[in-house]
Amino acid sequence: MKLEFQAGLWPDWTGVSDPPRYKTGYNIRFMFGRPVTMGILRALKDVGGTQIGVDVNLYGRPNMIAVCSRGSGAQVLIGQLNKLYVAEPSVDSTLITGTRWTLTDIAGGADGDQRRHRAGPGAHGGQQGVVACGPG
Amino acid sequence: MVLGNSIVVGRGGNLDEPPFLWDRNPAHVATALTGAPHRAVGGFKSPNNHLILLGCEDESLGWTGLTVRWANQGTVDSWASAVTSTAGAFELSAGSRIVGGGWTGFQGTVFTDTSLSQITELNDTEFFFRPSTLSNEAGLCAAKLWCENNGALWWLGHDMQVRRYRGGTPEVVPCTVGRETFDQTSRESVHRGFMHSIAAHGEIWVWCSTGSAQLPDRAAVYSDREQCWTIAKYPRAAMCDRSGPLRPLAVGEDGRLYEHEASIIDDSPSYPNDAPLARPWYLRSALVLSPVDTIENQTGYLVRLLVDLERVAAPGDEAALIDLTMTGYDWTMRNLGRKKTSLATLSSETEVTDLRIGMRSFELEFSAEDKTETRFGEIHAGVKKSDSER
Repeated sequence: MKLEFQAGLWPDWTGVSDPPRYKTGYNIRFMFGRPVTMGILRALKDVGGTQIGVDVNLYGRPNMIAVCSRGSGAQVLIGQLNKLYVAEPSVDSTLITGTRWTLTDIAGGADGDQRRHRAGPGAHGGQQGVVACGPG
Repeated sequence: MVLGNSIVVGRGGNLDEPPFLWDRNPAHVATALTGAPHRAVGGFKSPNNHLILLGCEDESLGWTGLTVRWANQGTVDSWASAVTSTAGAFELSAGSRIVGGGWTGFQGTVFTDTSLSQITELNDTEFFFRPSTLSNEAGLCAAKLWCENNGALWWLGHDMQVRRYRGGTPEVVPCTVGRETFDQTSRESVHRGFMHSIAAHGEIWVWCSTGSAQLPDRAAVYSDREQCWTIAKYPRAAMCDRSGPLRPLAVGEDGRLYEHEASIIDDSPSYPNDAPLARPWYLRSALVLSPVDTIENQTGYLVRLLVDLERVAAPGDEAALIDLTMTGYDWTMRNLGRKKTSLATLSSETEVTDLRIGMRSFELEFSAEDKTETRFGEIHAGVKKSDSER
């Protein structure tokens, strides 16, 4: 017999007469009613091929990532509990390497400085120049 | 633009300090916006070039939690109201504090703990902006648990219900995966949740913390195209969408940066130097009953399973296998003490698996940890009555 599963994940079996359902799962999405695995990912790397990242031990967990587009190339803001970084495509990127990135601290100062940043509810309005103001 | 090439960023936690301004030059650091009000919980720029802060201190009232305040047009540091200035403020009337907001397709959108309000540009010379309440049953759970997608606002309310506003009255979007996501979130960790869209797939991702670490580790994903829910499991501290052909970006809880949806099946090219990383996935069916006359009295045999699937592997991952588990139960429910399990693997193409499990109900589980996009097609099961010769 053909098993016609309903798209989506359902909490439990709801009745004998109900059609079969997909009950639970993760990293699966449904396209045209059919399950498709989701979320293949890759690391953003610097010119040397090392994955870029921010220091969570010194500056706390990241709580914002926001893309700010502009004519001369995108900037990606990464806000941590006590720090703010910007990631930009490296000018040393090539077709062979793909896009490589540089990461710069734009909060400045040492830990404890007044310019420590905890960036807020970002990702909204990035096209308009304002990225975020407020709590994370 | 009012801010020229600059960006305003704020710290949080109701801190007694102004937001910061950065000129987008990586050689420069962000500096405090002297003169700007303190304690803002959110902000945005209006199309008519006003920088608007939400939930900040008022010029005369101090901090009330409900203040919406804007600077003189075209400036970021002129906040005093005066005859010669367009700077001003008002208090929202609904709710006890502003939780978040931004400029959306519904103009200025402000969420309090109990309501959704709109800020309309008047472009006059007296009031400049006017607030109006859109809904009084629509409080926002946490500052980042809202987003805009496909012409609608989406947010998670205090009652752990996802709501959608497309004009009129906000609608509740019933969630079928709440038991594994929202229901496990604690009040202590809910403010660490966040929401964003994946526009390329028409999805809304609602991240929440479910573990003792209180860090976001999974997202309830609603497909606005398929009208159904699924779950994404990744330890991500923050994530955002990029429109068009660009892929979403995320920061892991370890601080490392990732690009998501670097997939092949959705027609975006994946070059060898993309070097995709393996990720786990899992799918389990509900129970399948054997087609016998009286299920209570007769058992069935699952003798064959035909799974139609298509796989597109990342370079080097062509040999990846899918683990298939078929479990039969001796009743029409998952009575775990009375079950039989058969294991198999599926490879790259349509697969036939022969087996023999005699039970009253069956379930299928597919899982793998690979760099491969898998799309499932039709599934056919060969089930027959016990002792049948056919």
